[in-house]
Amino acid sequence: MARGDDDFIAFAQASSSRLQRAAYLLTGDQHQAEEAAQATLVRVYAAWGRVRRKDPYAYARTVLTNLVTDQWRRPMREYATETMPERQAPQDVADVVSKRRWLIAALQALSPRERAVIVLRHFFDASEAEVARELDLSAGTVKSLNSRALAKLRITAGLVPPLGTETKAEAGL
Amino acid sequence: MTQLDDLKDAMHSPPDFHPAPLDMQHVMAAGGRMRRRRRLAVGGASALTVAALMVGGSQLINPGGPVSSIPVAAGPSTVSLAPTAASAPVPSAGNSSAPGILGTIVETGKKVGGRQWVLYVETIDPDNLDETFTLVLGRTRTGTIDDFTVDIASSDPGAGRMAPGFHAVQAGRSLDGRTTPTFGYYVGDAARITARDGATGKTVEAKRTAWSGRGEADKAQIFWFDFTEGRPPATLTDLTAYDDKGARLN
Repeated sequence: MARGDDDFIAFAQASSSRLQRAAYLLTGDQHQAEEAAQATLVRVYAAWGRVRRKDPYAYARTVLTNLVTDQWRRPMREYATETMPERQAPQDVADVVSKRRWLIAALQALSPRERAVIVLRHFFDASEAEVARELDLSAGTVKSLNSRALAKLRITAGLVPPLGTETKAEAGL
Repeated sequence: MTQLDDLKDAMHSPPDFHPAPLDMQHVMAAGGRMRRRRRLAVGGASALTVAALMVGGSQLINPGGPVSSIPVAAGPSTVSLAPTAASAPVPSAGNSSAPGILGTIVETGKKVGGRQWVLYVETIDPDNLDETFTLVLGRTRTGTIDDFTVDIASSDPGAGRMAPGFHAVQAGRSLDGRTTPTFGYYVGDAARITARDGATGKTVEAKRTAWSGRGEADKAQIFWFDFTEGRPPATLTDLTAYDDKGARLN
């Protein structure tokens, strides 16, 4: 076993679930998420000698995001949509799972760029400057993508969502 | 709790998703291979075939193989000029999210804007290089694959990409203010590849790097001609290969 392998294994075990979860948010597909997380760890291992003493997790985050979102850099690859999934009106306001399910579905309806910004900013808690650097975008673009995506997700910090609203059809009327 | 908090909660515990244990043995084996590929091997020489190239807007003639002519420069079927700093690796056959870079990566040692020009091969099917071999001119700051750009992706149309002779030849040009080298690849045992500088009439010799894929027969030489960043590229003609005895290869 090469020098540093133990460190890498410990790092991989500690970060694997989080990387897979992030990949799932970016791809919306469990199988692709596993593939992307594994491909990310392959690259981290290949660069382990260089990154182990810096910030391997930040490196992994960058690799993962770029692996998954490289598609958007190609022409004709932007599948942005303004049509978001209909908000489900849960029978129970406390139906957390239902709410989470809606949010994940709404996340998948964002453009790849918007989704990457949301995941980096609000899942990985990266700063706007870090997101800009990692996605090779300007800070202004990151800011506007974040605002637009949050607007699409109908999220305004401080506002509680009207989750108790029932439609007539759903209420059986 | 705000909606933003709800979003964060949902992202950290997405319903219907359960992380799977990853195959660490595979990760370390593949990562080790990738690390070794990055330790670049320059060199290699062998011998065979001739071609005549009119670089700078005309055609490459390749009598040695089934590809009788290869458009140079902006032939739409063979050339794709990516946008500035584009990064669009072709997915590999085995991993849809991984770049399909195969074999040796050629470091030119030439830098622009802090990034070194590199040449590398991309394929979507390492077992069918004859139809999928694509030579890429890109740049890298860190030398790691995930940092590679795709500035010019060049390939012959259809099959015959591993037939003896010159392939995917691109003339040097000014691309978004950056001077690119004349480059391509050669299948066969060439010991020397030369061209004529149209401005000075002098013969210039290409730098060559042996390249090999997975299969025994998957061999080529990636070549490029020296250039000066920031100056207009030389107009090269008469691209020719020689064997180790100095004979032109036909």
